[in-house]
Amino acid sequence: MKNSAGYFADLTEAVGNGWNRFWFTPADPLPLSFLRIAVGALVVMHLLALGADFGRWFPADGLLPPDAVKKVVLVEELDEPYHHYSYFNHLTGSQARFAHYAAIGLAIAFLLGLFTRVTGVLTVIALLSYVHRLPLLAGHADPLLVFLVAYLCIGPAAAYWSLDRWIATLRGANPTKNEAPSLAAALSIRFIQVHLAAFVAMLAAAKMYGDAWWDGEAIWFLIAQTHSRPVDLSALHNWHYLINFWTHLVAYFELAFPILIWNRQARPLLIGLGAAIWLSLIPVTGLLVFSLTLVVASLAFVPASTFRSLLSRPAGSPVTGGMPAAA
Amino acid sequence: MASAPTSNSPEQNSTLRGVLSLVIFIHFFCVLVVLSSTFRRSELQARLVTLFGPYTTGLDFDPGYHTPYHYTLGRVGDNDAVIDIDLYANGEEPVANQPLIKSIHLPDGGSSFLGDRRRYFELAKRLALYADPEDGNDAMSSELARALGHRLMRENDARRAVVRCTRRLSQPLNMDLMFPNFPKNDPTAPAYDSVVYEADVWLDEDNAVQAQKRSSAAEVAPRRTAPSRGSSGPGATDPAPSAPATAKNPADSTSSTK
Repeated sequence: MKNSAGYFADLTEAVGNGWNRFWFTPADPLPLSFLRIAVGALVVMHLLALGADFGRWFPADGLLPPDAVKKVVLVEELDEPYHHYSYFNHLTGSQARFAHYAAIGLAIAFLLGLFTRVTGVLTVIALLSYVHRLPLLAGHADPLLVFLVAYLCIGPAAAYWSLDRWIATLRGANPTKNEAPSLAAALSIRFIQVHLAAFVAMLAAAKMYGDAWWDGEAIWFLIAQTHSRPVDLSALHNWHYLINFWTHLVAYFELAFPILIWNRQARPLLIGLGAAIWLSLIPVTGLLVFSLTLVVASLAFVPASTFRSLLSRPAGSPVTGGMPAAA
Repeated sequence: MASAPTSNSPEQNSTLRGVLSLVIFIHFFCVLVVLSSTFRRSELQARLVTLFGPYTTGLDFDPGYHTPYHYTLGRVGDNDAVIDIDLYANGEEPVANQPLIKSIHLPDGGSSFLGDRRRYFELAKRLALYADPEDGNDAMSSELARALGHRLMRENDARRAVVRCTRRLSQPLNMDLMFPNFPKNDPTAPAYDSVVYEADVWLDEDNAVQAQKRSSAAEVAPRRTAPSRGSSGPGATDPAPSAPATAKNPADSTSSTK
């Protein structure tokens, strides 16, 4: 009895220490600044892509009016309460178009690091309005972009390469004050890491439900869709083993990622492999922004020291001090 | 491990740490529950998701049933579908008695890489799934047809439309398993296409939109494919075959039941 009590006391202490180390060790904001630019560019790209057929889809008088969307969503969500609120439900024609351009402007401001937290929060609201206007037809990348921008608002994502920093310099403030390792930076990067790992686990779990991913033929099913395939790779139909290997690689990688990404040794391999696998899906799915977003998000696992060595930016300035790894 | 926090730093403030820990725990509990139940939900998960709904759905942490993150499961419903709309001037006259103004094929342009064509394909797949005579939902297919017809009639100054959804079956990896009437060298041949939904949509004298479903091909003719493994509707429980399989050995085909 005493032994079991001791075990649980040790367990509690170990878990508590691990939790505190994981979440509350101050981290270098450099990776956040890199992610702000990359994610901001993806959001701009995403919004520009939505503009191609904007008038047909997003204004309240679009192809699917809000009432029709609500009816279908309530059926598909088994009459769960309806929580899809979008300002596009109340905007028509040029009003909606203006809101769209404003959203692009906000995303560009976030990318450039101008009033970063404010423009970040407003960019999240804008992204959510597209999702909730047409939840039936929401893009694959939307949930990823929303949580990436939201979490980047927690930390000092404008510490480097930002207009906020430049403006602070003009005002005579210390532009490097946000470069110090901080709790906010640690929380921001950890939120992204944990959420991304759970998201990739969801991607894997969704695939496990169908025979096509077990049979090794899912990639072929995508290639065989003559209307929607972006690139005709049907010449691969004689390469059964290649199709099988490609299919299994995607599924097994996404199964392994959420677990092995936490292993320091496996991490570089997984990030590189992830980039290759997710980019390989672009010619068969056409999900360009989604694949690029997964690749960019996985860079949240790259330690700040690696960013610094890649950028040849020496650590140890008077303000920054030691540079703990983000992960 | 990072540099040690100073004694007055927030990292040392155990109250702050406690509050933050609670927030982190609650947040990720919600996120993990919704992400682990995206495809199917137990009663418990459904109850929890209902409780979290305003938070997880509102902030799009819950991709829900709508976005196919599996890309394909090899079911009939995962095959491409497209929508064609024929437009006519007079809402009162049957289409046989009046000339066609215009035919619109959706998607009618856009990039395959940027999502604009994908939205049309997803809409067409949904219309096809709701039109399924076994597991469909006529009210929902009518709702979609009415919405599509109304908007395109308005765009083109028409008062009557025929909305048609056509699904194209895909070739299996092993083409030796195909029925002989499906040409191997032309995956876009008419044999691969089947009209799964067709409806008349018109504006009545009060300018209200009406829709009347016509008989779908699936209702009037036997399936050309092996028997379905179940529903192909959103959140369907069983994958169904995607490809034209042989009569000789459908159970062994890529698209058949294990």
